[in-house]
Amino acid sequence: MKKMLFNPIFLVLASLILPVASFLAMNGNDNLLADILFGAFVLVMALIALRT
Amino acid sequence: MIKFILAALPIATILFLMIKANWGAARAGAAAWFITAAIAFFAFGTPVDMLIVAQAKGVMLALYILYIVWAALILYFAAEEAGAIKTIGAAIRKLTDDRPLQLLILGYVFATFLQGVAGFGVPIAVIAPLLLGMGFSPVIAVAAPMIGHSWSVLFGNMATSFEALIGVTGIPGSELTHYSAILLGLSGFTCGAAVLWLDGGFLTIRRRIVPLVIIAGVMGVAQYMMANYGVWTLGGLTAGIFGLIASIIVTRFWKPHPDDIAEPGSDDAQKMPLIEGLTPYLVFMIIVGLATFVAPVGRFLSGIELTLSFPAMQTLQGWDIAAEKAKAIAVFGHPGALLLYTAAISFTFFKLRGRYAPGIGKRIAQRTLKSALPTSIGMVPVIGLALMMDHAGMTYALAEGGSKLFSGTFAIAYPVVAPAIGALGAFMTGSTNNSNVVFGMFQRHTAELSGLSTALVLAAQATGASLGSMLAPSKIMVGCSTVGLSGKEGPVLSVVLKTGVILTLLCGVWALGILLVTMALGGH
Repeated sequence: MKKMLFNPIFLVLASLILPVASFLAMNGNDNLLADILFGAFVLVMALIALRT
Repeated sequence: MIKFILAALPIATILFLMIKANWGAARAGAAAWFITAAIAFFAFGTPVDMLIVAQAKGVMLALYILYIVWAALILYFAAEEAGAIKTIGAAIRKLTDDRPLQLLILGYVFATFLQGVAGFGVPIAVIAPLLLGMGFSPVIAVAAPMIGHSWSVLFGNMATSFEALIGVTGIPGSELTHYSAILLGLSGFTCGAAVLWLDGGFLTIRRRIVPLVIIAGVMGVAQYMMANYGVWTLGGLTAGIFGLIASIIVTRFWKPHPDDIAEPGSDDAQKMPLIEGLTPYLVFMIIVGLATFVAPVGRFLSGIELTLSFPAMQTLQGWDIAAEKAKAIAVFGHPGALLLYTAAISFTFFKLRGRYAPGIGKRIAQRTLKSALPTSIGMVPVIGLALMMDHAGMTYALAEGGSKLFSGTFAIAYPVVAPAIGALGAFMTGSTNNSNVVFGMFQRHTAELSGLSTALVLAAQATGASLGSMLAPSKIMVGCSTVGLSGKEGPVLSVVLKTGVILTLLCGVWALGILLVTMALGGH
């Protein structure tokens, strides 16, 4: 699991997809989904900061 | 004052982590991202919706840059595996034995030319591996084109960032070109000197002052003429072409200093004819020329564009961000696409010539993946934090705080700080264009309130923004990925930061000098 979370391909794809998905959800007035997706993006940022 | 300090914290964090703690740009960017988000939310009243919009814009910009990074790496490895890079390196060594002059021609003149045709980090991605292949250290290989191309960003790449300045300030381009081209010409000379300085300090500059003055002079005058005759869209490209011609002529007459003769390369024996080695870059120029100057081709390639429309937003403290579209990515006409066409043609050409060992496709894919992934991880945090700062009004607070120091009786010294604000904008947003958009109107108002020449202050902003592009972390990451320094960008940032600060200050001094001279001559 840890290996998967710190996998560079996963991190690149997640950091590119999540903010746009969150914005599109916000545009579609689904604020809860937008916040959840943005929260997931924040976790990805934390993983990148912790990745050595 | 507190807002100024809070707004400066993310920059201080990223600089400290990269330079002092030796973190890679990705980790440092992600850590600074959290600090930026917290300050934007709690101190600048930025709602979560606005943070989401800033991140989505950041992703669009990151995609724009990453398209170039991945394509440039594929092209580079396709050429390198065939032996083309070694051939070009050997040819430049034959053009002149003078090692610093080799660095000047590639890291300054060729970088200017490439900025003229492509921009968006292409000069660094293409030249850094060439310099590495010629035996320069990885840090110099990245720092030289970073510094060398910066002066030509404003009028390079079809002068898009100059057009942005015109659009934002509403001042006709013809009123801005005179001072802008003068400041850029002078800064071009200092950029060239800084490239030479990288390889041996001031002694190297002193020994090559004649070729430097000739080459920088030719490029500066060529750009000035084009800009002031209304063809500023071709200013950077023309400067690059004239610079290459001047360089070839200069090397015919220049005798290298005995202390600086380049070591003969271990495999300088020609692997292939030079024209064959240059094929990828000649093909690239032809493709860029077709896409830029043949209107039907350009229209066809721009047929499919990826973009997003973002709504107007406002922070709780009243900072407005206008509705806008993301920078469109023309799937088939983007610089990255042009690099991919070049890579495909070059690959086929070298394959037919029997230049590749078996298993070449897999090897190029593996090397590209290994170089591009670390850069790609850091792109979103770095660009994301810059756009968050912009959307929260933090970047503006920084510039406002800096300019307040030069109000009242010190107003006359404002031209010294104006380029620094432009450079700050380019550093934070990774783009000269964005810096001009964010600070163009601010600089115009400040000039009008201080009773200074608006054209001069805006020229100082534009030149500072152009020079500041050498500090953009995203461009440093692009360069580092091509020379095996991914995750170790700190030393490169350290070199270009010191150089960039000095060159920006010098630009401010030029601007102040111009102001004083025009005042003495009775202008304003």
